[in-house]
Amino acid sequence: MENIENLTRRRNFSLLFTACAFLLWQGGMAVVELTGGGGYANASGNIFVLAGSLMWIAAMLYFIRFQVLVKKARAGCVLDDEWARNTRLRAIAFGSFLTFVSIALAYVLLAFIDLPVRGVVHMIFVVAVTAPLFSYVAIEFRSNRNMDQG
Amino acid sequence: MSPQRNTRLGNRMKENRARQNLTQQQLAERVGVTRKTINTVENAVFIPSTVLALKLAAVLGTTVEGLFFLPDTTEGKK
Repeated sequence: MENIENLTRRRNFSLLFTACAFLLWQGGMAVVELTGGGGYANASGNIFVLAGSLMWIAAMLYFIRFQVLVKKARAGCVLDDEWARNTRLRAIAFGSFLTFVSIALAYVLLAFIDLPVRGVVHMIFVVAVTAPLFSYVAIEFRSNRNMDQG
Repeated sequence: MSPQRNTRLGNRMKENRARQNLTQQQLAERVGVTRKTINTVENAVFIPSTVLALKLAAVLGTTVEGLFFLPDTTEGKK
């Protein structure tokens, strides 16, 4: 049976992997929408979409495997303890802040540059989903570094 | 006492834990949280809820007041 420390590490890996996959997959789609048809950026975007979608499938399979391990270890409550809830709230707060900043930036940018609105909205959506995930993992990594042995 | 933002909560967790001969991991298992929660509370990074404070005090055989204090009070300077 997996111990709690291992499960915490697996959770962080799962979140990081999921965020990277989503960033590649949906970020690639947004790049394709922003650049329109053809061009180097468009071709790169399509490669990102393909790689990202495959990574997304792998991330979902890993997540299912992680959930099975948590259920087997009956560690759901322990993993969702006060520190985890606090970290989650901080990550969501940071993600919301970054999303608002993206919206403000897009609003200003659209006043000066003629960009496809669909692509811009898609990019904001990518920021809104990935920013909390990356920030959760960043907070966890930082606290791991500061942890003493006891 | 004026309300302060980011008030730190002093604690005597380490001393009490040592007295009970418990590691952070063992204490975490007894109160049903991860070791990181214990570590962050012990290092005054994270302020626990009343429920967790009561559980910690019970496992460590002390009271909440005996375990936690405000560093700027006379109680904390003992």
